[in-house]
Amino acid sequence: MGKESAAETTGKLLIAGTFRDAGEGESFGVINPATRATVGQAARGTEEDAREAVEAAREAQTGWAATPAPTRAEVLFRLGELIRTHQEEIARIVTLEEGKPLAEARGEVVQAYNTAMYYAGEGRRMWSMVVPSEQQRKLTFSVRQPLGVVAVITPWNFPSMIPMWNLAPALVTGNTVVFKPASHTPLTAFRLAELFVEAGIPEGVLNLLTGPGGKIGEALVNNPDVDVVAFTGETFTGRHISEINARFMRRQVLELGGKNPMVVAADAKMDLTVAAALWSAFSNAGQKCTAASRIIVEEPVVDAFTKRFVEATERLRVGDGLKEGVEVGPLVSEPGLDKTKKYVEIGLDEGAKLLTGGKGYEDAARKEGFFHQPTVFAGTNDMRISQDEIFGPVTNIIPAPDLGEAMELANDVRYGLASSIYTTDLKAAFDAVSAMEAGVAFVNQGPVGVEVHAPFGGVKESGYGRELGEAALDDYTDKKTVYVDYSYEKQPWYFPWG
Amino acid sequence: MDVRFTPRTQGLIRRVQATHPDLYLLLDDTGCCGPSNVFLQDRPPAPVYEALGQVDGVDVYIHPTFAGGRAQAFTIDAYRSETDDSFSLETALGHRLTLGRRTEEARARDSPP
Repeated sequence: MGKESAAETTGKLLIAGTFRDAGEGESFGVINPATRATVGQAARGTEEDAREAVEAAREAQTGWAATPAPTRAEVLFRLGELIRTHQEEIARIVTLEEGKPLAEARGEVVQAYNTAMYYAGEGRRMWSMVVPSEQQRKLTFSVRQPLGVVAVITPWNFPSMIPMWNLAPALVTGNTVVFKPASHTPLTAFRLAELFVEAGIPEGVLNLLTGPGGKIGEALVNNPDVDVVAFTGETFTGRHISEINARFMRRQVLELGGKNPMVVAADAKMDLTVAAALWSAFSNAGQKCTAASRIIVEEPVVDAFTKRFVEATERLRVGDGLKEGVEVGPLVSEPGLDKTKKYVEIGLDEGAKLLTGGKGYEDAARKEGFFHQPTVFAGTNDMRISQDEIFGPVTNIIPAPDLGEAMELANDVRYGLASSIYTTDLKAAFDAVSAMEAGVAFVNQGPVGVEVHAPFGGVKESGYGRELGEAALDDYTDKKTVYVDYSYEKQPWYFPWG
Repeated sequence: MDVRFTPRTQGLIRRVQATHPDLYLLLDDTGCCGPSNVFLQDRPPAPVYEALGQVDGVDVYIHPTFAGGRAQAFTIDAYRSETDDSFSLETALGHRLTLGRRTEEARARDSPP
């Protein structure tokens, strides 16, 4: 316990271009999940702060929308360079407040950089379309227009990357933003906001609001001056926000979770498959919407795969993410750890066979943190450990008699975010891509690791809309269609007829 | 239905009811990033949820794919949290509700034949 003074930071709100304390002057502590040490404080924003942030965004929006897109993009180019310059510092903040190993945090920050640079490029691209007209001397085309004020509400598991997935496309298209990061990870958000200011973001164009989601998040989405809500997080909260958005008839982007299958065909290259499954199930301690939380294996190779996967799991080095060589960090919070432990009990009660893991740690180095052993079950797809999103380092190996059955099992969940198949048979691979109900399909890659210039999102209860790639431009713009008749001639259907 | 509230949960729910008299409790999977399977809201749940009945004046619903639906027995407890973001109503009071499964022994003890 106690403070890690070297890292101590006080995160403030950013409203109308000014960093300031919350309206009521309150703050909340941010802890390192590896040690429970306090690593900083963040402003506890109020409903009034939320109202002021939206007002600031609204006031800035017209001017920002009128700024040429290539000029708006210059801010993102500068931001990208700043993120690259400060990569190590940002990664360290991510690890301190979220827990993932530093090497993984560095990779996440690279993704934030890639996102900034990709959407900076959109400032000089942002294609729309020209279509042939039915008439001579008539031009028909569409232009993208910003929607207004965007509320960006993001989770703690990728505190630098996921915010950028939404901030960058929203801003380059001419919207202004109120950014509400998760309360476990406000310091990464604060540092990003500082870098935005350093990059030259005009006053009010980006506003940062930290504090309890149930208060200021609710205030944000109920503010009629918000035109779009981008949310990544709990399914319940996503449904709740969606119902509110329906009342306002407003645009939304929702990414809400997954229970992702990784299918292992009998002909899969086993070394590759085991390595990919390990990373996909246990990186970020399994706290990923795309985690391989179900590994569906064709029966002829299930024993061989299981043996090697369990052995590899037991070799993973679990510890404080700041320490060299650590591969798996802690859960983000004590309730998160408790939930993982409960699901281990549930799995055992349901008759799943615990193959390795299943407990927390009691040794001196880890007992203060929220660590849980990487855990592998052998079970069936109808178990709760195969249906509910545990959001911890737990995966379930499920046998399937053939690939047809594997596809049925893969789809037999309420979610549909990411899916994966390992096979050397291209026909089987493309059949799986076609059959699996998911927004993202991977072949010979675990269901983890997206690229920022391709669309990302889910089907079924995994969400609504798409992040990343050109698809995100559609989330944050309306297309206005323009007809220009330069014939200067009366059209035949005008009155009077005949 | 076999859903029980701990005294701490009963107290918290009374505080939420002071400002939200029409209260609904939903049992559901968390999806991304959430630590709890219990949610409070002040409007009727979406039609996908199934009614379980009323507990201490609160209408309880469950998602049909969650936890085997009606067959399970739950105890719902409360804990203090400043950082577990959710739009569930109790978070405005700095708390969250959490789900515990009740053992067969506890069920037998609470509901003697």
